[in-house]
Amino acid sequence: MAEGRRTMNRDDDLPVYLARPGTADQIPRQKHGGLFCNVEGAYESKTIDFDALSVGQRGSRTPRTQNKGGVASEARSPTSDAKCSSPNRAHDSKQMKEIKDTTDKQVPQSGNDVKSDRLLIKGGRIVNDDQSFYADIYMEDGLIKQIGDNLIVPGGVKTIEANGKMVIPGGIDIHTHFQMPYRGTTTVDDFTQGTKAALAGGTTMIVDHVIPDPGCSLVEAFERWREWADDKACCDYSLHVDITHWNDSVKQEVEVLLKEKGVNSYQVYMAYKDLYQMSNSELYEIFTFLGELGGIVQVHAENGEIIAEEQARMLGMGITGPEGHVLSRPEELEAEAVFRAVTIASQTNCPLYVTRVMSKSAADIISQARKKGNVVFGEPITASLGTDGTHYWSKNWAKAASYVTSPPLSPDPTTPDYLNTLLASGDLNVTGSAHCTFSVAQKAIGKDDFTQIPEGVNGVEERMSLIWDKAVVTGKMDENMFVAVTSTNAAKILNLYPRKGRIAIGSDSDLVIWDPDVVRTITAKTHNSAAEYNVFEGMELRGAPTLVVCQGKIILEDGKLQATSGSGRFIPCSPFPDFAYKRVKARKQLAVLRAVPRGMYDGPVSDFTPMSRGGTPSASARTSPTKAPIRNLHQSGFTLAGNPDLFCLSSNPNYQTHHIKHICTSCDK
Amino acid sequence: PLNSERLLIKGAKIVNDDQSLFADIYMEDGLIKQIGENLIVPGGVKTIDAQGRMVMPGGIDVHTRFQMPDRGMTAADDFYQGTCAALAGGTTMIIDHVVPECGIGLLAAFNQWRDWADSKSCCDYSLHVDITEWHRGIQEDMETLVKDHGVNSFLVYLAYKDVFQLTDSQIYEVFSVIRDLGAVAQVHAENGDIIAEEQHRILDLGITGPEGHVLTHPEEVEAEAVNRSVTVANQTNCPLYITKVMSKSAADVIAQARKKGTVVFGEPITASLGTDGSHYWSKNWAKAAAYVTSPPLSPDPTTPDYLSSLLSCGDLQVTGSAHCTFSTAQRAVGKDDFTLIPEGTNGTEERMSIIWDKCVVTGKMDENQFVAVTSTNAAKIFNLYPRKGRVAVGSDADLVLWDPDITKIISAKSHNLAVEYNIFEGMEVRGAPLVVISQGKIVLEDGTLHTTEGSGRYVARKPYPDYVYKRIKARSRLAELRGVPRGLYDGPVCEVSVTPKAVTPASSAKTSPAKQPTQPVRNLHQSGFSLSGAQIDDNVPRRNTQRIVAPPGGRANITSLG
Repeated sequence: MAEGRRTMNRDDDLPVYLARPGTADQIPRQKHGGLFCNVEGAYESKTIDFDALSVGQRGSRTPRTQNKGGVASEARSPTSDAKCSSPNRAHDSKQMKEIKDTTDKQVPQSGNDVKSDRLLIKGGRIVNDDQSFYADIYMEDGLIKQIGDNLIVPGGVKTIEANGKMVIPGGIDIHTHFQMPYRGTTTVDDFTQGTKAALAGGTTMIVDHVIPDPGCSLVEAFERWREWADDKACCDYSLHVDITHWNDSVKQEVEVLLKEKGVNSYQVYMAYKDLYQMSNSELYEIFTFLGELGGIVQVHAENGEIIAEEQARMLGMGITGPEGHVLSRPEELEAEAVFRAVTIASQTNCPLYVTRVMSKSAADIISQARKKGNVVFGEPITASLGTDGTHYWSKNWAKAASYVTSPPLSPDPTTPDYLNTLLASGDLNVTGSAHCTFSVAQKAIGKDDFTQIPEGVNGVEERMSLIWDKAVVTGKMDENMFVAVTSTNAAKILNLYPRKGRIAIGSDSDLVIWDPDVVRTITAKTHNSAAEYNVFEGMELRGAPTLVVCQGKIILEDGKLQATSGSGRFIPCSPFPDFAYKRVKARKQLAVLRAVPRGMYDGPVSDFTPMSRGGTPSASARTSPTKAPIRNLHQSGFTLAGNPDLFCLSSNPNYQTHHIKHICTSCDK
Repeated sequence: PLNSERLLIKGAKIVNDDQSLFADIYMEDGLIKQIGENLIVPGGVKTIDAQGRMVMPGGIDVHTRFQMPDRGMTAADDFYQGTCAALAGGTTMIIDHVVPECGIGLLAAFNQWRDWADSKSCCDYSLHVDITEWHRGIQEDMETLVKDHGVNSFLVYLAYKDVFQLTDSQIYEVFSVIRDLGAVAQVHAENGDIIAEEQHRILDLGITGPEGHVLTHPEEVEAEAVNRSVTVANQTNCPLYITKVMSKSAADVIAQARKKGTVVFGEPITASLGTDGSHYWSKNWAKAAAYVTSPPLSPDPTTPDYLSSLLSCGDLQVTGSAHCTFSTAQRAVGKDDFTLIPEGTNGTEERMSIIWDKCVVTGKMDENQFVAVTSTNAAKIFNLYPRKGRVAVGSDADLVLWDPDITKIISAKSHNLAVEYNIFEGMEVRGAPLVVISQGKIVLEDGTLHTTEGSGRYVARKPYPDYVYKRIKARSRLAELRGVPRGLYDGPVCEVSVTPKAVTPASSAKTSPAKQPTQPVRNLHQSGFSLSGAQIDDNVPRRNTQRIVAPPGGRANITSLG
């Protein structure tokens, strides 16, 4: 079957004027239908990765993509990556897999028979991040099999009439905290509730954060989260792992997670002093380490030390309500931490991802850094794009508390509009929800002390509609950019593109039919989250999904949600995503440092006491292990007498004459 | 004795920071007594004919480190040599940095520096005190220094990990104390943690020469620390002064912060205005080592021009020299490891001429702005104005007769320093002092110095300089915060385990002297919990009025979703 398509594609070569520049090779292209064909290279960072597109196909051209293909077809098996250790073996295994596909079909999906899932969407306008075009989509086995007009499909296929509505790649919520343990309780939205809410809003994949307790094993925590999510998730998911402490064993665990477990992004905290917070030195080491292994560093950017001081000050002044939360975390502290993270990332040549961009000043730092060439991505969340921090002053404690999250929502009411603009202009790249909901009773843990209020807001369900309403309806961005910031960019950063984040042949059939005209009012009475409050309460949003297809199955239709707990698969993310690392790699090659070749200095050397003080930046003992012997060697060399010409005599005769001349002119007084 | 010193300068063009005017100046007892035309002066007064040349306030070098101890060595220029060099360049006052060794206490170190300077200094001087560690005793020392010893500026280090470096929490506390005392917070801005890591990496790469110094101190790390100290200063409402602005990016951060309203001052130094970091790659080790200072000179050769532009437009305000010189033999302590090279460059003698040459000759600033950045602004920030920094009746007779047409070539052969290298070697500068008057006496005339060791007086500085604190005071009145009056929450509360919570504001006890109830300002706020007056967040729209809707103990309103 794969072979068949290959030949078909060859017959379908593009006209000369659309051929790929600079090569005469015959390159297989997938069919989009009609005039609306992809022009490869037309949009630099948006070009389809054709190699990677060969999911489930034979004869992939480069070994690099073997891994991706393997991941795609073998996602259910957590050990599949191990098989891909050598390209050849991976190749073989894939071929076998394909034979299996055609004869034996797939690894059975839990409960559902995937092979019966055949879907045809007719008359939709396909919207990718680079272009929109009209075509039909045929899906089978959870994958998009054909795109084009007048497709030849088997009989008995369920057909959906899109009637010209937009069909977009399902959203990827790159930041959730479902079922997060917190001091003995758990957030009210577990993986079932949370992913249901996600699907209801048009999001077909979530990326959750694993938060290991400081001192505990990262791998164990990861496995625990896997268990929870495998049991309950209704859509595909992936995991970030938070690094909450740092030592050699954590280092090894990160390597294991990165190379074997499919985790390519790690979050570090610059806040939460005495708990999660990392020192600058630790950040430097983590950034260096992940930069070498091809991971993405995510930072929670706030200056925890100053927050701790400000919290003490607020409590000292008698401010104990939720307004103390925002007063003790002014947006400058967020911006400061972003600036520091950018500096460290630039020093270590490591791609940086700033989670939860909540304020204008933090966003400004990110866009400035991008203008200076730093590889940095900013993630505003639903809450920061949709509402502001004025609610912290609400007279209703429970309502005010429901807005508590860190960094806090900015009290500046112009913030959401500003962030939407930066998102539209590409200065910010991805959107998450940071969905982390607590009930009022849970929030009430901090009823007498705002520092005790569990932090987090909702947003996974509202994300897509909210961005559509704030950014597309207002004309800030077009529907292609909308797809980029809600789905495609996230997929690229996670190295899941084009399996996720694109409607293309071979991609997962995670699709949404989007109706830009539906108007909904957000309220806690109707939302799919278990929380009593919704931070967007009463907001009227235009644009909503009318149909959601996840893993090739219809999940949402006619307003009815039919999700299956546990049907979500873990999607492993491989290191070195091109989107971030192409540039990083190029810079690495340039960044070679060389010492200046000089003759030995053999002039007099002053005596000095071993204790290092004064102007010398003596690092801790660990960083300069060679200090002691050097000093002692020259204790006897202290004399200013003698010929000053000797100061710079070089052992290399080439330098000697020059140096003596120089000394004669500059040292003689 | 001073009484006999009577001086008349005739036909001078007096240059202050605000205007220039032609007049005669009569000085007596070390003070300016009369300014005007056709002055009536006693007979037998020594008269200098300025012939229409500029007479300006003597320069104030806000940053020197004469005679600084470093690991058993001492900086090559002591207070005598250093102040001689300063006077030769037209600077009549220096402010040196007291660097207390850990455990010795600020007062003891201050007294030590006073002894050194009183016995050797040839011009008036004052002292900044560096905070090299932080505990309760230090806070008490700071209070004593401000109240009894005329110190109104303290420097903290964001660099020098494990030696001088303070944590962000400590800096927050130091700044709070400094603000309460009415002093100015100075910052050595570099991220010491990153530098330590970079040093480790560069040494591992086998780079041990002076070029390693600049490679491990990239300018981004300087800008980061400036940004962080600006943030802390904003939070604590404390005036900030960045010493040694060496790079474009650090200067940019300062300029931006000023545009946002932060009370922050930036001090480029002679070296950053006059030369660049390309010399770190010199094949001559001794020459390369002579440029080692922190933050380092930027390898970007356009930096001096950029900084002098910002100085001209007012984004940077004051200039120092950070003069701290070591002989080649002393530098050679780090001949196999650049991290051991003692740091510091010369510049106290060259400061005025270099700024004149780079800024005034090029037309970036006029002579009034020149006076502002070399003298007046420093006097204002450190509360010496108008005694210093201005030619006016009643001011100190510290004057310079400036000749804009003299051209000099700077060279270690002719400089007034004790070191073998001059980092401005071979630079041709236009503009130099013809006559320098310090404390009413002529100390430079016809190219000859007539200095007296030990004649320099310590100048005490009062806290709360207007130039800095008028704005700070206004803001602290606005910055009162208050809570939202709400009914008590009496709904269900979730049970939690007793593990310490993530965001508990626990600052370790030893690092927080400021937490003690001796903080006058903070305690005032405890009882000042009121709704009256302007609030900092008045511009923020509220959903509710100030009226208490739910009475204390009233019903919980968790069911109302409004």
